[in-house]
Amino acid sequence: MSWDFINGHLNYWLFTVLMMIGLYIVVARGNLVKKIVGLNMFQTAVFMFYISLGKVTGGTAPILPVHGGDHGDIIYSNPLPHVLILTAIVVGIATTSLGLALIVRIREEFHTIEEDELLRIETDLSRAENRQHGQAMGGRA
Amino acid sequence: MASETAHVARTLADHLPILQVVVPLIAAPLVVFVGSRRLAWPMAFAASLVTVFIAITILLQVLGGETISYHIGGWAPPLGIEYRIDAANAFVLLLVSVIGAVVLPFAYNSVKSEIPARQHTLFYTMYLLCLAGLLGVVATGDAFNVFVFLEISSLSTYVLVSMGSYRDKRALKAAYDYLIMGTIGATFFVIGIGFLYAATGTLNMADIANYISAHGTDQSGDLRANAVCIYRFPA
Repeated sequence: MSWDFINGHLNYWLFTVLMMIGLYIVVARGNLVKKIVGLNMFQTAVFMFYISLGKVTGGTAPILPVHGGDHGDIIYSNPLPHVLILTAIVVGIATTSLGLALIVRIREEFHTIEEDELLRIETDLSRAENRQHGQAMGGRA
Repeated sequence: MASETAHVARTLADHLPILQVVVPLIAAPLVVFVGSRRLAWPMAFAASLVTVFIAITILLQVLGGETISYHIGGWAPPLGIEYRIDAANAFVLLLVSVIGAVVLPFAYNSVKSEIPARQHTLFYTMYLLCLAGLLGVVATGDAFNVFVFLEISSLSTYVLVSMGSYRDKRALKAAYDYLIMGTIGATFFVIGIGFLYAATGTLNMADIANYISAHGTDQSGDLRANAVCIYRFPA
């Protein structure tokens, strides 16, 4: 692995590091809101990867100049990844808002947004349910 | 791009591939705007019957082995979004829409007993959005479009899962877990599309297949060049 390889793929390294930080937050944090924050970092890393793909060395923003004349010599960045990411950002916002709305409902029902407490409540609920079904079947389940 | 054909009048039959997706997609907000609890189920059922009808018509068109290529907005395929339907796609379209239509009569009673009345319209809206997403995944020939429809169907599925919370509040936590898992999966899908785009310079599925079959899977030299000056305009 030469220095040129490492330096030439700089955007790949940075996006991978940022993405893994986000993924780690999603896995490691118990608070549901912090999980959503991690998920956002994870998605944003991918957005940045796409935008860095569209960059052309020496290229400017892909907008035609207003004033007339010959513009054959202007180098533009590739606009397509930007457009794709515009869509992906909208999808990400929809996901975030749905996740936050679910957290609000979870807090209303469970009175907590910490994952370990939620797990305990859920286990108690399942245990009570199993006991009830066991009794309905006559005896311990 | 230079191969523009003269503008020809199109009939409704030419637009069937897009109508397949658009009918449930339009019906979904309509159910909310009409807002009638009694009309919600009939509207959803009518929309899914129409999708079944369209799917059958498309299947009959492509059964002979030809492929329908629908250009959205009249933009030619490698750059524009293409809906590409061959016999296999049409069969899956029929499968999805028939299952959608068969499920609804049974949903009527269970929705009535399990979901509070004020949310019935929203349930059918989410059902229609999910159907539109699933049909779109099958119909489209554009890799990024698959992601968009995947998210449409999965976001509506998260909501459908959480609607079970009136009988069992654990449904909320289940929907949340599903949202986290689904979003991570969809994001990895986007990364994959990004790498494909970097390697081939196109998002059209048929074009990607052509490029890879012409250049092989060994992209070690080419990948970098394409990643820097990405646009491989078809000549």
